[in-house]
Amino acid sequence: MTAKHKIIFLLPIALVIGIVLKLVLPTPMLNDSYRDYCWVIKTHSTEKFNVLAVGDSRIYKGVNPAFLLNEKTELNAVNLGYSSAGYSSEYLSFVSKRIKDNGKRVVLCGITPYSFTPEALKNEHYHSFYDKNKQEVYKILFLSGYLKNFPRYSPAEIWDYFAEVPVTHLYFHDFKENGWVKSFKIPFDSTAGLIPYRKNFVDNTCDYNAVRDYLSWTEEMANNNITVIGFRPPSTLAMEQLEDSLSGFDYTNFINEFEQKGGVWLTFSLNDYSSYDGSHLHYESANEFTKNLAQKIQQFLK
Amino acid sequence: MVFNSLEFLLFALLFFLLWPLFKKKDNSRWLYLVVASFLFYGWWDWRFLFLIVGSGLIDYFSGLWIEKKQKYRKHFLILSLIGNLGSLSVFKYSVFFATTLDSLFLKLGVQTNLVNNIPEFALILPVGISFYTFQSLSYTIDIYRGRLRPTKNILHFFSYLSMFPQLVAGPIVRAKDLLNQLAKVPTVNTLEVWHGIKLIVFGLFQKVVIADNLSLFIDSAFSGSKHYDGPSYWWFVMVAFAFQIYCDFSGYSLIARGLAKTMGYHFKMNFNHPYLSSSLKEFWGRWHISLSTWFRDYVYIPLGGARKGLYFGLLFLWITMLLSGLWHGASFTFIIWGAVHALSLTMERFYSKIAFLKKIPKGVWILITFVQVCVAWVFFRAESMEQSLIILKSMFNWQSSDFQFLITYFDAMVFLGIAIVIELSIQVKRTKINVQTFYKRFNLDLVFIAIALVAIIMFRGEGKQFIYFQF
Repeated sequence: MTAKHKIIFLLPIALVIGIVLKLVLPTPMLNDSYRDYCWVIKTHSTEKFNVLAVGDSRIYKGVNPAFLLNEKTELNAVNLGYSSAGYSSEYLSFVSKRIKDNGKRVVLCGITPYSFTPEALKNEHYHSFYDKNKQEVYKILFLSGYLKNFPRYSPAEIWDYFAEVPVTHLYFHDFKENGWVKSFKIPFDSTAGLIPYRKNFVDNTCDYNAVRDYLSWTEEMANNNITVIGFRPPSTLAMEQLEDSLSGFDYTNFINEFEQKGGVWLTFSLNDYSSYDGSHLHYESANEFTKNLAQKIQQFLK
Repeated sequence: MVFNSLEFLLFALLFFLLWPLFKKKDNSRWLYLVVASFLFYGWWDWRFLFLIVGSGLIDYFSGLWIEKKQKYRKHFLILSLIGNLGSLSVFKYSVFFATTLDSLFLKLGVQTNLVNNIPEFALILPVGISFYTFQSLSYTIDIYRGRLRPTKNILHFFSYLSMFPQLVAGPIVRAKDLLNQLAKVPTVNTLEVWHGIKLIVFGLFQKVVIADNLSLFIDSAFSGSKHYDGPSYWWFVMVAFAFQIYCDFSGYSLIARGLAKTMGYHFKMNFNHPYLSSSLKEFWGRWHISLSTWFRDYVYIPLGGARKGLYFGLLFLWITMLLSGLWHGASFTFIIWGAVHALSLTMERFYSKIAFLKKIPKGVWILITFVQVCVAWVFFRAESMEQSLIILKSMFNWQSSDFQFLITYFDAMVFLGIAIVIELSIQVKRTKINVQTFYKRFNLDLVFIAIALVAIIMFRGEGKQFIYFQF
């Protein structure tokens, strides 16, 4: 075969191999091109919303905007949560810009003790997307659309699939354009998050200036007829006790001040939901939690 | 722009589409190459183009004046050296020198704060600065030595200096090798295009499939985010790093050579399966060949090389290796990396003369050499000297090991296995004639390149910058 023939046959042969593999191999669990696309859409879209869920990973994994509103409504909802998000002025300003200018408007704030710590206030995850230049944003938005048809395959997943090995380790994430991340983990271990969270609060406790700024923001929103609803995202009792003992954050005081500034505080029972790692809700619980949340906020959307 | 990006794919498609229109006339060819290369480089940060243009102009005029004004030729060489090494010192080493001096003065009881007085612009490391300054230096030094005639055409010179395939991470192409090629209208036949495609695809495979898929395992080990420890774990980490850095850099060099070949130019091989070396001397003849030969020709031999006896030869070897370490990064860990290699090479010069050691099979020597290289890589990769020593202690602490990490990093282990199998099969193919015949008869190169192409798409790792960009 001459070099010319090899050049001609290279792409057809590769195409055949690719198609055969695509048919034979299991669909990959994670599509990272689509993941980046979802984060960039969340961060750089200019679309405005009536209902916004904001906070950290307990929010973006725990509140599914698809169940926040009833089907017949013309209102829209989004999840603007980021990993380890803190209520810094930058993040609050970002949220404010995404609230509709008029009509019914509700901001659902997941308040965790970590979200007022100096580490959280850095908002590194949020910044990793917000700080992308226009070129990168353009690339992710327009080219990732094509790349999402070419997910990356993992040898471990392929091995387990063909060896019919029961899945013993898995951290599943399915990213949605509305900002929610459907997730679960195998093995299920509701104590797994305790050690890392304990480390999170070493030299990193509640910054009361940030709390004050957040409360001022709540007042400003309330003065503009925007309902700010606060709640503690459900995790586990052990996690709540750990956070309460280490964070320096006082929920009782916070709730009092929050309500004085015009915020609405909601409470949820921990018993109704299950967390796969002690911090984040299993996606079925997340849907259940969102439906309960939706019921409680109905009165503010009428 | 990096080779493993969609921007580069579009850039390359456009470049090769228009290349036949420009390549026939000298000035249009050179101008096209310069404009394309500046666009390629400026994609990161256009401001650093001024640095390439600035140091390039110094070398272009120094080259002309060295030949024209023989009386002052040394002055112009010094001008070129100051221009190149000066910009390298400012942008790459200023922080290192300042912190070293600060801590030195502090030990003498004097409080200085040099590091905080470095101008902000000097804190950014321009991509590829070590490569193009060395390339540019070789031009003026070769003219000074009378081994090269300067080009009078500035576009010809800049097309050599800034040619995009090798601009940011080598290979460091010598002016005497490339200027002549650039002076002619490049012609390419289909066999060369096929070879070019093979180099590009295999280079991308090395980078995107092997190096990128190993990075998570290695990065998590060095960041300390995982709790694994013990000799087996750290040996796996270091072997994985050895293949990550090899595939990352060799991948870049192969893509650069492939692109050049498809344009009609020839770059010398930069990596020749270094981990199949049976001695460290051989390793340095196969690893980053363009840099090793640069240091040999412009540092080691001018110092005196092996001509001045064994002990001076060793001294020059140490100087060369320490400079090579410093070239890689402004940190003591890189200097120690160079020193470890110098020490191993020194020992090798002595024990290579022992008769009974020559009876040891070549395979064992390959393994010994590889182990030495892996130990040296610890200093190269570690974040600090303290971390290097902790890792080395762990590697040689013969306690029982936990192998749980093999399951956690199953994917990385698979890609590491593939990298090792590829290297070993290349060794088999090189030494067994019947394997070569079989390979040619069934056009296995076409099959393997097609598989590599599919793997680049389906098994690509999470996109990472080429490691050598930081140098």
